[in-house]
Amino acid sequence: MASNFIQAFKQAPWRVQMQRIGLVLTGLVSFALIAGLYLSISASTYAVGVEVKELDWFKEELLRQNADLSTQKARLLSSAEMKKRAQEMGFISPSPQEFVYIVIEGYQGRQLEIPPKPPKSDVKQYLIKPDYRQSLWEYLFQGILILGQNSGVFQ
Amino acid sequence: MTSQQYRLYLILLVFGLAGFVIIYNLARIQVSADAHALRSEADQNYMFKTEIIKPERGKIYDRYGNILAGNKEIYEVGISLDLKHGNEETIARDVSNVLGLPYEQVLGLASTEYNKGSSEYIVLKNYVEADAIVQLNELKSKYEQMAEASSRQRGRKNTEKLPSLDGLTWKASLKREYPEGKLAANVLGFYPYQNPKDKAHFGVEEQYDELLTGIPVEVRMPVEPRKAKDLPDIPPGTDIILTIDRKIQEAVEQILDHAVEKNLADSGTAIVMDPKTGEVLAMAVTPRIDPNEYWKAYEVLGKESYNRAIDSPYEPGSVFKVITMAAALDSGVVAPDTIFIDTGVFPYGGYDIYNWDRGAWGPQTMIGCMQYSLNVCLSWIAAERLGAQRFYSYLKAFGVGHRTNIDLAGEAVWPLSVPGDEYWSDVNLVTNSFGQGLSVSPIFMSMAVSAIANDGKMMAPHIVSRYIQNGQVVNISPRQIGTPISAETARTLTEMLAISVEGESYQEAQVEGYRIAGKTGTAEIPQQGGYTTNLTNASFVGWGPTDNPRFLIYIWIEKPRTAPWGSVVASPIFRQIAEKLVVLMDIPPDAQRKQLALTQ
Repeated sequence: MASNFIQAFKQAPWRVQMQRIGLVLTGLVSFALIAGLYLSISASTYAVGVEVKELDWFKEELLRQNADLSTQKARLLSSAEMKKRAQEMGFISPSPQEFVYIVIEGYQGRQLEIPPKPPKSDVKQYLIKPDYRQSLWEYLFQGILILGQNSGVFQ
Repeated sequence: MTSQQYRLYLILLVFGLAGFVIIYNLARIQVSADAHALRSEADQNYMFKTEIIKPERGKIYDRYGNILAGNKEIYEVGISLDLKHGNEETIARDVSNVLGLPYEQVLGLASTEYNKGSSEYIVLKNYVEADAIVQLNELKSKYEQMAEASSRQRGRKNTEKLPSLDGLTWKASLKREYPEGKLAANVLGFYPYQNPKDKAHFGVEEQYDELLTGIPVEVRMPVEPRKAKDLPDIPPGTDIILTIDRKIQEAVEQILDHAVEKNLADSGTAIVMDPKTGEVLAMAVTPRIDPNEYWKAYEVLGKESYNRAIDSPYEPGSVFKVITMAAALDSGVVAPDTIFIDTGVFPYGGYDIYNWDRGAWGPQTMIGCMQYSLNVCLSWIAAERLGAQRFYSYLKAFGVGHRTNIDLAGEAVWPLSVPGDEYWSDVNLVTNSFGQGLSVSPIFMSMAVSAIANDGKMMAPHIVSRYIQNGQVVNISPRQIGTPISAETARTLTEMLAISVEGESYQEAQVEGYRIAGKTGTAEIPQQGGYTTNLTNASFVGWGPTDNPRFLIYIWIEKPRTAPWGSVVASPIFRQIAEKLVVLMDIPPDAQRKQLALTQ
């Protein structure tokens, strides 16, 4: 009786095989998906890492060029250079007797100048996006969290 | 079980066992202590690269924000031997054309065999200008385009050799640059960029070397891009803003250079200072070097000093009488109208003291004593009115024999001999009163006399007005370092010296439209066994306008050959500088200024 009952509900062998194959395939597909995701994120991280390095070099280059250009400008505006240009334009140095003092309302005379100062760096600013500083687990967890919040599941 | 099945199971067992052994070993290797040590070593040696990042050296500005010392981009050109591929001749030809190096030399270097660890990279030339790099880059791009075009052409023979600059590399860095050339070179000092391990020399560069250099940061950067991390924010070196006014400095240097040449003098020094704050507006010396070619310093200056204004104490002569008279007036032993009868000689301590002309000037007020610069009168004041104790206590109050502590590297000082010292004798009291037998630097004299121009308040001379560090501007406040005399004494002496300058003997120092106080100085130069007879140090100290002093000028001309007298050599320099200053500092003539004050 019992064996008949089991036999009555026992699945056909081909269905059992299909189930097993399905399970194996599901495992493989899952593995491939995770591996693909991992590869994709790794590749992006590498690409961004390289970009970060390039940006660092570019930043260094820009800083050097800035320094160089400000010195070039200073050379072009140096006393000797300005004097030469003024002479070429026909200006002459007046004698002390030629000066006339005129009172100009509100004129304060030459004012002290403070050169541009570099910004103070109190706050730690990350150059790399958080996406590229997270582990795969953090990335997935945060992704699920954001997805959940957006869909209203975690509200 | 059939034999076929048996074989199948056996194969499965063998492969299963093999798989298990492999997996087991993989796991074992991963967790073993040796594997851990290997990973640590690999991380240490291959996964990270340690770099020292040097911040840009701080700039030096004048008070109006003009750059006096900056940084310029330069390049090191070299060959990466592993990247060249039989193109040595092209490299040699182009490098010798562009950089001006001998062809044979470059070819020899370029032909060096690559050898990992010992011969990987060769430097061809350092400190190459950007223009040359642009030329090399253009050539390199041209050859690359030729190679690309060639590879696209079908049927071209592969054996044809195309020119290439592969392997030729250049690396940029910054070097110190002084865009104003010789201007204020004595104040700036220099940074020897060709030998960066050496520290900066002289002036502001040496004094503030650490601040200007900034803090180099050692960074351990991962080689693997996946682990790339932010470069730390490295602040540049501190920028320094001087009290120097570029326009005034230039004018003073020009006048001084001309005066030294005209008077066939050995050297010249001039200081312009704001007596109310101690700010040095200009500090010029002749000769001076171009700090962009600092290696020529020895050629230009020889063994002479770099900045005579601070590092060359000398016997100042009669300009020192200002300090003696200040002491006498302040202690109340004389008044401007005190009469001294000058007989032309003052015997003291076994010596006879004479006037500069060996003449007797008869009855003179204290104004006359200063106006005619009478050694005999000043000796009488020191010896018979002040006395040694009071005289030297005043010199101490003025700081004679001590550093001014100006913020420039290399200040020198000559100790003052006082009663009780081994080298002091009675005659020192009287010779010191007119500036002989003691040595002071021009910056010291400027500081001491600033007390007279500033109601008795002596201000610390300084050259840095502010600095910018980590995004913040730090101001250097003027500092009063003493009050050697009262305000009343200072005003009285200023008036006496203004009357003095109005006299005929000071015609060369007078500035039209402005009332000036001043004193000349002519000092014989000490040498072995006495003093020189024909060569002198000519000096002048003056300030104005007397009712509200805005500037103080100190001049020292060393060994003028056209005339020995301060009144002839140094006074005109003072006038020329003062005439420039009133324009550059927007100081209207006295009459106009007083009228303006009344209307406002």
